[in-house]
Amino acid sequence: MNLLRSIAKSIPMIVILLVVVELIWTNTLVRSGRDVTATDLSIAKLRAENEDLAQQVASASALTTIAARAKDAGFVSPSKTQFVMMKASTLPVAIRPQ
Amino acid sequence: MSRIWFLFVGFLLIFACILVRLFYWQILQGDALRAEASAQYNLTLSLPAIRGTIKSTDGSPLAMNAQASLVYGEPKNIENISVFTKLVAPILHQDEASVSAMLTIPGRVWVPLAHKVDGMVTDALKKMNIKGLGFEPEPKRYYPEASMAAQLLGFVGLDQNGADVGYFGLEGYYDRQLRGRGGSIELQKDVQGSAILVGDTKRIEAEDGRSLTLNVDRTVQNIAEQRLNDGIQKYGAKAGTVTIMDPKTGGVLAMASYPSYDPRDFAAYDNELHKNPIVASSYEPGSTFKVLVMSGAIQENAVKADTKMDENGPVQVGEYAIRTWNDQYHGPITMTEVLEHSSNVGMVFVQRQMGKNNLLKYIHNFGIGVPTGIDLQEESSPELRPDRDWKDIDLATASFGQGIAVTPIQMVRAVAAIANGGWLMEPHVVREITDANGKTISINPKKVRQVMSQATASVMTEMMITAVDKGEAQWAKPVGYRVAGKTGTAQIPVAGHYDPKKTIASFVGFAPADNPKFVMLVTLTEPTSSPWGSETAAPLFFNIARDLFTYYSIPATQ
Repeated sequence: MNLLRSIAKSIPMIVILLVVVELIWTNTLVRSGRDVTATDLSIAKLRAENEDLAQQVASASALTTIAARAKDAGFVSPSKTQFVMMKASTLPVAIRPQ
Repeated sequence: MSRIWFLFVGFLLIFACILVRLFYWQILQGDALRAEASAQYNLTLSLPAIRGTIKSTDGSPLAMNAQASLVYGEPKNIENISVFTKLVAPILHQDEASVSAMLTIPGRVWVPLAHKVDGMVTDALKKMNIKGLGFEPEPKRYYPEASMAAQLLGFVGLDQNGADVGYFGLEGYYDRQLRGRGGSIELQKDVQGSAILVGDTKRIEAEDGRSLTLNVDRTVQNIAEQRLNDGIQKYGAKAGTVTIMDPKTGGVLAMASYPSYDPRDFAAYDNELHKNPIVASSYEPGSTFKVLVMSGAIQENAVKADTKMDENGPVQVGEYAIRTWNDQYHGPITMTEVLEHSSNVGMVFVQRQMGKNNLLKYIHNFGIGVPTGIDLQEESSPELRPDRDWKDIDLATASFGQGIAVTPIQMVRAVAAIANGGWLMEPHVVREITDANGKTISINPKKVRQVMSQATASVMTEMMITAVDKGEAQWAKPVGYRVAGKTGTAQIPVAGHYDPKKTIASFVGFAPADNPKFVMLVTLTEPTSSPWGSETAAPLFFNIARDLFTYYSIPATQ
């Protein structure tokens, strides 16, 4: 009988405690939701930056860009190129000037 | 008593009204109200799929995505539509009157003003901080190599719902693979719009589009385009194409055509230019077709390389006299010399030796008259007349490539069979398809059929080498290299007859002949400097071949 009375007396305390726990938990969750939103935004931003950088790399390494830079640097297309096959025994050596 | 009844009926009416109202809310308006309630506590985010990249064989992107925005107006938030229009329309390159008209349509709360606007433009608009002007990310296609391979790649436009869709070329053929599948997240939100993690969440993951890695080599493509443009100017041609293929795999190394278009501004060009002429336009191949007929005749033992025929004058076919291209006749000549001199009379002899059925068999076996199956959306094939309708004159003219139409891809594939030991391959532009998780599917070379034996292919190769070394185009050939090839000059049919002044000059061949690295077809439409393939298409072919020998580090062998 005494046990039941003491339990009954502690019920309000338990209720208050649970309410406090609920409040803290809800508050934490709300903050987590904001964190998730912020993280999502951050992911989207990084993806966009990544896409921009990939685009810049692609532009910089495009043949048209390289050709323009090579031309500016004074390179010209070879008029005629010939490949010569040589065996190891016939490797060319520098000839001493006469 | 009457008051009790009156009260009872009154209550009944009230209950009936309540029932009717509940029926209206829960049944008739139930879905709409549930959706409205859901919108208050549910947050739905769309997860767009990113369109796949198209890369050349070395991994360099030819078509990729770039940041862009949809610019929209919200009429309710705009303070002064006239001022708004004057500020926004010029920056978006739009007509002020039409922008103003769109914003003043009654009842509209959201008006899209411009799609796929560049970052620089949106930055300029954002700095102006105009009320009622909004932006939404809307990626657009970016082409690092500008208009390179435009007709091969195709372009991305909008469908009737405003969604991205690929048209023509690879963008059209592989649209579903490149597009991917959009996803969404539906979760519960708090009063500030942030997600509540313990609430119900429905998540459908987006599946990004797959990326394509091509057999196309951007350096080879660049060489082909540069040389073709030079050739078009030098020979005063109206149009031209260059098709380069790996004969062993059927992989397309380059496809260049002139005129072309800029995929960034595809709408500004004639619709006809959107189609790739290499797979969608046909032409009469002229003398280049002789190598196909000759290989069929050799395979059927109808003739041999050293079989002699007497080329002593025009040959009569029914009421028609078939002449040589220059009306000169060489007396007894071998089949190799028939190709060297590109003799139409000699080819009529070959056709008669092999017979109608064998000629038609090889035309079919080389894949003429049916699409090649290349992975490009707009491929089409000119139809062949039914076998029973071929008359003697049709067979005679077909033996030297007139009166029969092919697409450039059909022609280059057929000649590739000679370079590939007689095996006809299915041409392919894409080499690999990679999904967002990195899983790669390789597209393996596909053999269609063996058209001729290895021995016949070797004999034909030697005959084609001689045709280059001793033919009309020998002056243009790179010294020291064994190149197998054949020139072609075909008259263009106009309104039921052939125009004597308009030709399609072409050259088809492969090199190095003993271990071919590439097979190439060059066509020039209506060259004005000379109508002959040997003086226009052939030197252009050899100029490209020289560049390819350097690029592939192929040494001279002679």
